[in-house]
Amino acid sequence: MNREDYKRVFSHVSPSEETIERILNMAEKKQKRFKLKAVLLAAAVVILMLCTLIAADAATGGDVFKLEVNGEQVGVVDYVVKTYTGTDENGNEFVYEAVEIPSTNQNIILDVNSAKIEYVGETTGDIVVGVKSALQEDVTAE
Amino acid sequence: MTEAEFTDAVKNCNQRLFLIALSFTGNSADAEDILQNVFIKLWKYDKGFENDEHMEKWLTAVTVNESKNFVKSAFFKHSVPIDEKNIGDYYSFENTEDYDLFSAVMSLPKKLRTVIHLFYYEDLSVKEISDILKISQSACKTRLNRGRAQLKNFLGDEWRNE
Repeated sequence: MNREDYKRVFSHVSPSEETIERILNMAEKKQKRFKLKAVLLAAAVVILMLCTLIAADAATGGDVFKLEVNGEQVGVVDYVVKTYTGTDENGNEFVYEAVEIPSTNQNIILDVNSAKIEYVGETTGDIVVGVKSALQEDVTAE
Repeated sequence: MTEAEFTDAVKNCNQRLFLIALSFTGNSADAEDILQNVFIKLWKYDKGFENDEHMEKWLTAVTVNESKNFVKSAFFKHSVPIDEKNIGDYYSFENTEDYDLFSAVMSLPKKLRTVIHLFYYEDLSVKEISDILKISQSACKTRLNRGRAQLKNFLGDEWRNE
């Protein structure tokens, strides 16, 4: 036996196609998860702008902002649990509070003055909807 | 690592890494599990590689470590193969000599098989093998010689020592 014989013989031995598919799919799924995160982040940014109205909502007794989870209207205040730091497109840091919906498979509808933002489907983690504190203060001040 | 880079790495290295794992486990199902773990580690590795050679060396080292841990695990030690079929029967070879060589290598004790495989297939030197397996060079030479002697015994006239 020499090296060439050995290599030739072992070149016929390889993992199953199913295993290779599984490994490649694993990366694809992970990539999709990252994309989903990006989508959620983008949604959070949009909502961030719209949700400045949440303060006005509080001021008007809940007429402006409605949050529905799985078809049921819930109190936004119940979900405002954390303060986060974000960075805007100009690199400036800002602090915002977040509406955090901590479970998966939920249909979520945010209705801000009839502008609806809907998310339906599975998520791999928490959905965070930001509310910019500074703007909130501005609105509150009004 | 991008998805494209990962896909290339899987396509280019899967067979080589599978064979290293197989030289430890002696069965393809466990070798495939190890292969999957290795690629999960590659996917999660975020420090980057200087070049392809660096990545291949990293993959070899990770495969050896994963395989060593696997064969040391209680699961592996206490598992009994359901199928008693010769592992060579799962693959198709050009002729019976090739089948005999593969079966002979796979019938070697694990310690001899891994050294034989790293030497003949991976083209590693005795020093490189001793480094990667964390054994002395003399132990490596002994295993290599014993492995060759056993293969000669199995294969008879088909054996030509290099």
